[in-house]
Amino acid sequence: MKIKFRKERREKQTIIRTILTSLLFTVLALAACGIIIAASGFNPIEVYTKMISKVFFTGRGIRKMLDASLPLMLCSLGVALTFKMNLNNIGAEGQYAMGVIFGGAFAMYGPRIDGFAGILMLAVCCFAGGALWALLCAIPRALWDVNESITTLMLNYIALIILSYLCLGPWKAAGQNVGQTEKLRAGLELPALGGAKVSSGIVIGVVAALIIYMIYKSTTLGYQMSVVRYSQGAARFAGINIKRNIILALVISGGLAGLAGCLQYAGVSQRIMEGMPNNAGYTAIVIAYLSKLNPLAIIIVSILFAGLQNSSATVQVMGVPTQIATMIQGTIMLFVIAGDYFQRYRLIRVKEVES
Amino acid sequence: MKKKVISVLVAATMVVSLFTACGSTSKDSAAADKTKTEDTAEASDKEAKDVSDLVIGEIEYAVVEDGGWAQAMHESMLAACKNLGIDTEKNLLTAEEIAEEDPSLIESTIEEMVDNGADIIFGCSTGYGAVLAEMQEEYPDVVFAQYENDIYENVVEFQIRGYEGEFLAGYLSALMNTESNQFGFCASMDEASVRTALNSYALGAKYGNPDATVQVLWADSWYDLDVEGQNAKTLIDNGIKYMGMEASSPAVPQTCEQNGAFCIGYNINMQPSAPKAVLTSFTWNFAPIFEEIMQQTADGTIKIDTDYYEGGDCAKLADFNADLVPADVQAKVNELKDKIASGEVSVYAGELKDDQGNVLVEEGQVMSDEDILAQDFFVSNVTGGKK
Repeated sequence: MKIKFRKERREKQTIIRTILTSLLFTVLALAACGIIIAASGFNPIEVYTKMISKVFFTGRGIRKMLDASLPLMLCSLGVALTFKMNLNNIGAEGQYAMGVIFGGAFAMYGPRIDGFAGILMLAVCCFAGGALWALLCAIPRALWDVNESITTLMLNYIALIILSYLCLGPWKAAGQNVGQTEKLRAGLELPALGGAKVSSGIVIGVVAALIIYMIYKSTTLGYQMSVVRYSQGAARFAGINIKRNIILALVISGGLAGLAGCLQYAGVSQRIMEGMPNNAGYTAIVIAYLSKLNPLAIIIVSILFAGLQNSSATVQVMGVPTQIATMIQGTIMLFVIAGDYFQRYRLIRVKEVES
Repeated sequence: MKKKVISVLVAATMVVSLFTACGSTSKDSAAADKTKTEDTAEASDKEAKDVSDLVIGEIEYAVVEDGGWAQAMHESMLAACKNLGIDTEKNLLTAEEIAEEDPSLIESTIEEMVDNGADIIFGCSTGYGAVLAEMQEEYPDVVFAQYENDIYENVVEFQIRGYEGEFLAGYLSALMNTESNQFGFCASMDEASVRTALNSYALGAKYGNPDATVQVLWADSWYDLDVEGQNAKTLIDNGIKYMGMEASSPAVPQTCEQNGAFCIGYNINMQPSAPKAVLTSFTWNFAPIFEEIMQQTADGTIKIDTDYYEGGDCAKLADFNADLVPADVQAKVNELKDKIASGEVSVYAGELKDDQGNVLVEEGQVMSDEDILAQDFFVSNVTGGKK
């Protein structure tokens, strides 16, 4: 008798199952890494205990985790928005950079408006920068069907080079050899949340996620987007303006990535740096996928992801090599993505009698 | 219409965020200022401690086996610890691949090091200064040291007069290159520290051969095997046999070796990667500076606004490649090294002109440290400098 399995698509994906499967595969990933950690002479239980308790259960760890999650969250929200329409915006990295450039230009050359109005204008500038950069890909995609995966990706390099030029050139802080600007003037800094020393950017991130969730759930735009996703033909017959929706989705997506730059600039780093996006735009793609494009899940996943990235410091100071710290991150990602299969399908054992 | 809706939403987001935030920033900085003043008052009566008990934090932007900058830093760190009897297995906390662009990660690293008892934290790449200066206010008992110009009052800053070593490298090339007046240089990004390496190499070549010209090619990247190799090949194809470099990969030495040309390595001793091409290498030796910072921290005598800008043995050439460099040439280079140390020869001495013909330093004068550190010019015998 042979034992065989047959896969069957699950009809419904419940939230509980999603969470449990993700947790299970995270544990499996940690177990797999544990073998390598043990092989390199460390006690995996000790490493994990310290890593998890430091990052997720100390005030400081949580604070850093929330700060680090901001750019990831905003970029993921943007990226997920385009994925919802079967558009691949790979350009969050560049849109982030462009957002920062526009924001920087406002902070340095714009009118000296401080406080709420100033921060609002800074945010609008950053949003506009990212949106404009995405528009460069949105128009060719909508009008001439130019593949947006390629154009958005290529524009990343251009935006990053412009950012690098500005940080090493005209915007470089006086007396420094580093590619970074002067500190943002205090009037434009995002205030910290009362006493907790967490940047209030987290509120903006959560509110943005809620707004997008509402757009999906209860606006015509959200409905049209989901129609376009499943069938362009159907959308056309229904009289939905596909071109407009494509442009809109990409532009908002770019704007959100630009806003990520704003939160990082005004909320966390206070300076613009050469290479500032630091791969947030690419990590965002993974986060969007792991969150199943759900804006509320994105909040959670990007916070956890940021914690995972920050844990590299704890692990390294214990003496574990950086390569292993990076490996833990990569393995968890890989396992959770693989676990997605078991959320969509169930395996059913088939008994076959040999004839 | 839709755009209006979006801008209203953005506005709403900002309003919410501001309502929830309270004006704690100003209080915080006031508190920080207070601790700072208290700290400077206390600085003198810190307890002395045995130097071998120090716990040292080291923050690197790359892995320490990167074959370039981080490796040079790490080797200096190990040497300094060894000389002072510090157990590097136990008391040296090294964090690698800490991105300069990621303030949250830098802060987490510093806090982790402080939690593990770090007495000194070294920022080993230029981009950590701003965060280090902020964290010093939070942890006034920890000494923060950073590789950079003199910017922050509460951070020990250190740099090396790399131009001395690069000057020797240029001079060595000129002595070796008896057939031509042309020299090459493979540079990374157009930036002050890179210009320093290029200019001092060109000045050194000119010191050895008044007609020397240096053709520079740029990789426009801090690390790019392909472009660096291509640049070296292009120089060689144009008849250049001797070149200097400010690049981190072994591509330039290896390309030279394959094509019968010679170069001076950079950052670390690059002879192992191309033994038939590398005459010697310009190396960064931070060990003497690190040792002094560690010793003074242990004694409690350190002043946190100290700035180091050291030459001599800190900016030295690695051992000569004895198969390629004749003994008399070695002797001449060493002689020039002593002359620089004694002040008889000054690298940026007048009359010095830039590549546009403007006078940078008048006859009989020398350039100030500030101008040396912020080089925005190319000296007259450099061709291919960016405008």
